[in-house]
Amino acid sequence: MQRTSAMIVALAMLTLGAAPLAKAGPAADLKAFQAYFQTRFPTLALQDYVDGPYNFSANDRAQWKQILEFPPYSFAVDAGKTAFGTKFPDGADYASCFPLGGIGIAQDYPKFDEKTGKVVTIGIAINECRKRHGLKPLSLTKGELADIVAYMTSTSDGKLIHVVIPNDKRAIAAYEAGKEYFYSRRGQLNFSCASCHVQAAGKRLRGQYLAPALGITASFPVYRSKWGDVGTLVRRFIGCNRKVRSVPAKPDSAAYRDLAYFLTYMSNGLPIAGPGARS
Amino acid sequence: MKRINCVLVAATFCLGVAHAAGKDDAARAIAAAAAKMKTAATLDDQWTPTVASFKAAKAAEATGDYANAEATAKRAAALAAASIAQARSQKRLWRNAVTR
Amino acid sequence: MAHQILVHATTSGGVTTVEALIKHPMDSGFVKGKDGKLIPPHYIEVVEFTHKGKLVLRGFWGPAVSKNPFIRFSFKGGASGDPIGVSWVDNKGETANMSASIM
Repeated sequence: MQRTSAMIVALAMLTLGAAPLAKAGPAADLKAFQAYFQTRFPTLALQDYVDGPYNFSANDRAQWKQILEFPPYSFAVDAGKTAFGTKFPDGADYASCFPLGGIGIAQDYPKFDEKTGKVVTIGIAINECRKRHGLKPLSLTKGELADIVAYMTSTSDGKLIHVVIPNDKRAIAAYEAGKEYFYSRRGQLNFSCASCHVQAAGKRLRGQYLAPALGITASFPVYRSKWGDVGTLVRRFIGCNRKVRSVPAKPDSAAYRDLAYFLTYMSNGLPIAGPGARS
Repeated sequence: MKRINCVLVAATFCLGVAHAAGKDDAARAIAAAAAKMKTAATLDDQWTPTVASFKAAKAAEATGDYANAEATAKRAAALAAASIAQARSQKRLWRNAVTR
Repeated sequence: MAHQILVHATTSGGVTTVEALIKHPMDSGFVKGKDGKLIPPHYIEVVEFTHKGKLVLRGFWGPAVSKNPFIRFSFKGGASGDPIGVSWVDNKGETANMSASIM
């Protein structure tokens, strides 16, 4: 009798031991992330999050809507369309570098490049295209590249964000690195991205409301009144780093690629609302 | 007269040594700060005031203000040390902040 | 060639509404740049809107108007397809113009 029960216990332990402890992967993280915000802000529908800070102040929202009647990023989209359509010296063009000719694809970025093992944002893809055709890379933060991204993003207006994390160790590692970055405190002010955009989401930092991290990438590239100009997600990462007194990373660094990968993935299912306008 | 000369020579010598000591101390402090900053950089956690203090220390050194250079370099080293401590502890602590 | 002026006009109930976004630095001359030196004044002095070649609005702008100004105004009349013109001249003597049809 004792031997049987011992055997049963042993079998049970083997079975339990054999089953791997379910490590929260990206899909589980996504569910938890979106659920956290939906519980916190029950009056907001999922797609409302792309309005960022304008969900929290009727006055700010009204002013923002007024600005959008003739959007300040119109020049950037216009210039971006022209730049996008301009042929390279070797006769090729940007459309040849992207699926579907680069139209209506912004919602799929950032992507994981299986050949290089790195995350590729739409900005980096533009520079890789330029490199393949003998052109120098553009600044990843503003200027012509931001204009092109603004144009390409405008062709995806309303499409649902769809970042894919393939079942590849390197892709998952990049995702995890981005996740760690997001939650790690940095800078002399000792803030993480989460400090402001999760913990303090919907609250004010000086005179402005903080956008929740959910949906925050959807409106990029963004015309910021402060910049008087359109800037990319990387431009904002750099600005945020400086604000907490942390020396920013290089624009094409793995840190920012991976952060963009994680952060955009967390908004899967939300509609592209870019280019956008913010104060 | 000879005695005064001796005293003067001795005084100049001492002052000269003290001056050199200030310069060496400043150089040492700057090197120490640079080393700490290198570690902070490898941990991807350099603070902007660290860089600013270091620049100020080097500027003071260049103008011969060694006391200031040493003090500012020590401040830079302290800031870098704090950022290293932050990076190391965050390696453990970041998971606590993950939304569940 | 990317545009410096974006304009559109709609008409309804005998009233035409014109909106324009004008790209211009509108530097007042009082702001210092990163080098600590004042950025020289560079702003639109006069902006004009025409309907079928006839002046409907003339604005006397200046350093108080901020960068990339947006203007919206209405006038009586106008029909779909009519040409609307906009032009400006700035303190440096530079000019730009654009036209659009009422939608």
